[in-house]
Amino acid sequence: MKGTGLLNAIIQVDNIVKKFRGRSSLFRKLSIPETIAVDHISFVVPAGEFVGYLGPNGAGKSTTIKMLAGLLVPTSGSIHVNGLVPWRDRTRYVKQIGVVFGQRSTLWWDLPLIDSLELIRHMYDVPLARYKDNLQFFSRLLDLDEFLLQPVRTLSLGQRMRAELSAALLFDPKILFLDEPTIGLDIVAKDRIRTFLADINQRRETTIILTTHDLSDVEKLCRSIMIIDHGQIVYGGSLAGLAERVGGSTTMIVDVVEEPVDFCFFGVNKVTITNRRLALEFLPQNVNVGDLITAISQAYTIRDIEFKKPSIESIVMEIYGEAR
Amino acid sequence: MLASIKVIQTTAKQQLQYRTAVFAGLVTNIAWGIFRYYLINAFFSESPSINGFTQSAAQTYVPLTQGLMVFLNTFGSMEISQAVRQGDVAVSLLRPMSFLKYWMSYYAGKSFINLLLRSILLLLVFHLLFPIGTPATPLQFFFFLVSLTLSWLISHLWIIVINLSAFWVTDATGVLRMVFAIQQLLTGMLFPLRILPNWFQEIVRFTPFPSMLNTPIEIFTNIVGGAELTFMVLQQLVWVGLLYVGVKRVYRAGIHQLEINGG
Repeated sequence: MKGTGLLNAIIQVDNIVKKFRGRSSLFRKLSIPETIAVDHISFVVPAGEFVGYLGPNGAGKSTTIKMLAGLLVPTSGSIHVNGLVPWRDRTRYVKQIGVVFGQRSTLWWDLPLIDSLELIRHMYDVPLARYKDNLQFFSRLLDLDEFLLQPVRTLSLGQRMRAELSAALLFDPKILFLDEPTIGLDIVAKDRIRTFLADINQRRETTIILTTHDLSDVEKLCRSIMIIDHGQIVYGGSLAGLAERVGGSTTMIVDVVEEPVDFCFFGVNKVTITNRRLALEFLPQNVNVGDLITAISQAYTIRDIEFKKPSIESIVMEIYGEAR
Repeated sequence: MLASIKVIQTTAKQQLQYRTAVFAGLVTNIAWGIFRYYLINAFFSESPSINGFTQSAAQTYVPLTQGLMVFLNTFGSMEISQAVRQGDVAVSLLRPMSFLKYWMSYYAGKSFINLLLRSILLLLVFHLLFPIGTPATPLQFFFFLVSLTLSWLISHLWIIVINLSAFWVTDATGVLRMVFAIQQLLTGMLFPLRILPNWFQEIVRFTPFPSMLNTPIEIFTNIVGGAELTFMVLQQLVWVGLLYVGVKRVYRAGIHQLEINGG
């Protein structure tokens, strides 16, 4: 995200702050202090990127997404999305963005899904040929046909989410904002939606901003991530870079035939020996694993090797913790 | 324009999904209508005319108000305030269609179905049971249609504007209930406005409420005509204009407050 040329930047956020007004009352207990939800955030998202936006509850994630969608106006700072200021030219702007809030629906509850999609076609002036193409495409990838003629209220959660995604993408938006799209879904449904999103991102070059608490979403989909905590961005960059940043060390566990006495290797920070087992902790960038294994095999007879990498959960937990 | 028509169509289709409710509503309306009919008849049995409002006008007044109340939404609606309260108003902000256009089209679709399945059917049933008067001339009937259309606009613009109070009041239900209750008296739904005390009529005259129901009823029952009729229809036009500007202003203020303070 950082250092990307500004030429193809589709989202540009400069130093935004969002404060929510407090309330003062004669009675102290009823007063609400002013809160700063977003505290001087800047970032750039290049066109076609798939960004995961993470943060604990109340960190300022939703506030940022709402400002990007034009639903909230920042207290200070500026936002440009595809050359437009989101909240200023709303009618023109909303035609370029698709938004899916996992907890809200844009569909007509008591009518067959097709009616909602037809209405969207008219609202967004989608040419009929384009509409048919899109519908066919979504049908193939998401099996919409199964439930296209069913009232929305009868759909399962997974089906409804597939419907919401189709509705948000029917008019070919340039940017897609997803707020916890996989919340409450089973593994199969999740996987299907992920495959679909990856496909849309690659084939149509739709820029996607995804907020989620499900880190496996991020691991499978996002090329870059942003982590926000206490209203500030505490990390922005690639997923691999995140492990490095936290100093996520790899542990190599080696079972040997002999009872090991001691072992040293340059770059290995910690060696624990227990019962014919060596546990070696090191930073992956500091050690050539091939050389390390060679060194061990010269000293002992290796029976088994196992690597333990820090899970993304543990890395993110560490980042959330740091900011506290 | 095309999008508005599609919204009207979609709402109408949705309203048709609730056939049982529509039928139940029709039956209730008819039952209450018959009750009101005998009540007002008893009222007029002593004197055949009160303040120039005749018994035969009263006999037409009942089925007409009873039939048109669902079309005009005289009892109000809380859908918008609920959307604001539950944050669904965000969804409408993300639509490339103006808020007012969307909701007016929405109500139009609903009213269209209610007109066909409730208003007209109810009037037919009453026509079979009791004598119903008609406008004296085709021109009078034409003015009735014009006035009825204006009433529909005023009634719904009013519903929207007071529903928007939900932007400032945490739970607008109470406010709305109160307004809709008082409205029953002021629009002429409970009694014909003419039979109420003069001082009361003088006050109500300066509010938009008679324009929501009373005016087209008085035209249909031939109680007004000529200059008075023209004046009343012009008054309706003024209310459409004022409420239109009012809705726009209040909506903008509400959205502004939402943008600043969040939902």
